[in-house]
Amino acid sequence: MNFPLFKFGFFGDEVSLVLAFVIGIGFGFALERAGFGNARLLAAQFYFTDMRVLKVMFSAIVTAMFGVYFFGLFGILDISLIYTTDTFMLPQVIGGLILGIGFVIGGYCPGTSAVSLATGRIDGLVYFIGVAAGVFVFGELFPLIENFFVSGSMGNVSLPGYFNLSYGFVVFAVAIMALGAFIAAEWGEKKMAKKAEGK
Amino acid sequence: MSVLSDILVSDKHHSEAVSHSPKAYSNPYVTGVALGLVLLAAFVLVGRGLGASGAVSSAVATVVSSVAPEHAKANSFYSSYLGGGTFGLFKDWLVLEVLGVMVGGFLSGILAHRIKRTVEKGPRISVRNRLFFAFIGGGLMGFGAKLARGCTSGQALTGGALLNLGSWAFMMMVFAGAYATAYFVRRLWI
Amino acid sequence: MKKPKIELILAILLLFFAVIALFAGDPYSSTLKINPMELSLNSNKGHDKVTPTELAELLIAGDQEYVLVDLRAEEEYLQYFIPGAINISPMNLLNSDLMKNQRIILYSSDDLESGKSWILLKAAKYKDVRILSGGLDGWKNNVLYPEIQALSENKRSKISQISFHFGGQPKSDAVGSQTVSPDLPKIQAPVNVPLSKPKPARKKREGC
Repeated sequence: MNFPLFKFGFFGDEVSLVLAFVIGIGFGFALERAGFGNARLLAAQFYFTDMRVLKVMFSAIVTAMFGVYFFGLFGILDISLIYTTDTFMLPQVIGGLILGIGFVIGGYCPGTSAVSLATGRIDGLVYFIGVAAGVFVFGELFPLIENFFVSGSMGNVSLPGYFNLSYGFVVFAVAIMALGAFIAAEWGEKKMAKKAEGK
Repeated sequence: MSVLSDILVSDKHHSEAVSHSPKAYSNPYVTGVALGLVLLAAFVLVGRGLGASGAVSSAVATVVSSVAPEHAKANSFYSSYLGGGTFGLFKDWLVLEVLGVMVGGFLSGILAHRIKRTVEKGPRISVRNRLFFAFIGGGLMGFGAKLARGCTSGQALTGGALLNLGSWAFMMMVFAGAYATAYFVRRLWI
Repeated sequence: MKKPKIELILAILLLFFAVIALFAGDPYSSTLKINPMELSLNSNKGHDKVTPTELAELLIAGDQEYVLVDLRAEEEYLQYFIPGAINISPMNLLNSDLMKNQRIILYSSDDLESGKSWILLKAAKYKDVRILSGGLDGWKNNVLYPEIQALSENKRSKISQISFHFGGQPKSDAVGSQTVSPDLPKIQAPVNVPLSKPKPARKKREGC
């Protein structure tokens, strides 16, 4: 068991930061390739005309999920050393709602807005600045909402743990659900395209 | 308004309906798998996932701290991003990662001839309004991301792949919130 | 019309891996697989033990890169423990805070319990596990109450210094009537002073 390499002392902080940059490049490259630097494409998801947000996200999640699972199974990767956030159900649910609203109003999320501004989109830049403003407001209001921020604490809990299912089964279930979502998305897009043509 | 439009939008015939020309962008499934591999590399090499909002938080905290240091120190949110003075903004993993994201996005854009100084918007809205809503949307997103301890990159992608309960709940709510609001802001896009 | 080819391949791959996952079980299984080859190869490298003197030198030098674990029962631990050791019973080893990438040094009263725990941890893929050679008996005989008669001059003073540092006293052969197992030095330091955990406990945020 030697992975994650950094957590087993194979390299230090400086290399880790270099890796951050390199991994970021890969991340940004893939995002732009998918068209996520373009707010219209991102928003199209929510009008059912172009479901690429769902396709890209779930493909990525399933791929990484399989990777973690199988590397863990073969004893190569120590899953417990990968950092995950604790679950705070209430703020995460409300935060998710707010984020979703912000997503469809602004047309980006922080990562994609970075890609967008890097490819010249002014709205991406404005959005990114907006994110900073939002964080600032949060910071200033923090003393007031601190209690809410830590409410609903459930500790570090995973789907298999919470539903008392085996990890492998949850992997299977998530993959099948994703496949179902992909099929539904393809069907939905075709329907919308036919509708548009029919007009 | 049209002056602003002229300055910002280099292609005047920019207003297009929401459509997609398949050959311009890569296959979403293939790109998704590639993205998943990048995420996996992060897990396997560094033991952590991706993120974006954290970098913005570090930057905001750093700025606040240089303008009003005592205020920043007294606020437990800002101080959690400041690490007691021995911490540099460019030593923050996420900040470097986000810088990489910009570089990577730029590289891909250059290779695909997609770099354009423009404003993405729907046909029925003006540039000025679009930018206004971009700012508002960003603000909401920034606030929500801090509440949820992450954004789509950190919570949905990373937490999703790791089967984290809160992350999946978060992801569902993001889709729910977006779909619920889509009808009301359709003017922006279609 | 889009050619469905690549999507079909990906979908098939997805189903393939998903079905395997359904039957392959947990990465965190409760039964450990022992790989005899791996374990016996490991034993030959000599990297799995620490002599009492070596441990004493590590402690004096303030080396914090490892976790020292006392495997004995709590009452025995409270009577005396090697400074910096934390008390974990063999049953609780896998449930404890110990991380697979930490350097772990185990000891019990002799080598038996620590030997068993060594196999347990190695089978559970803990990377760096070592045994204090001789256990607490070895600690007593080599660090706290060492025989210094047979040693060379400079070694004698060094070993004596180590002994005094830990509250012990070198045995001189002449005083043969001394009790065979002297009382262990009383611990004045607060009872639970574990060494600060290495790397995993670093202050760095890892959130997003």
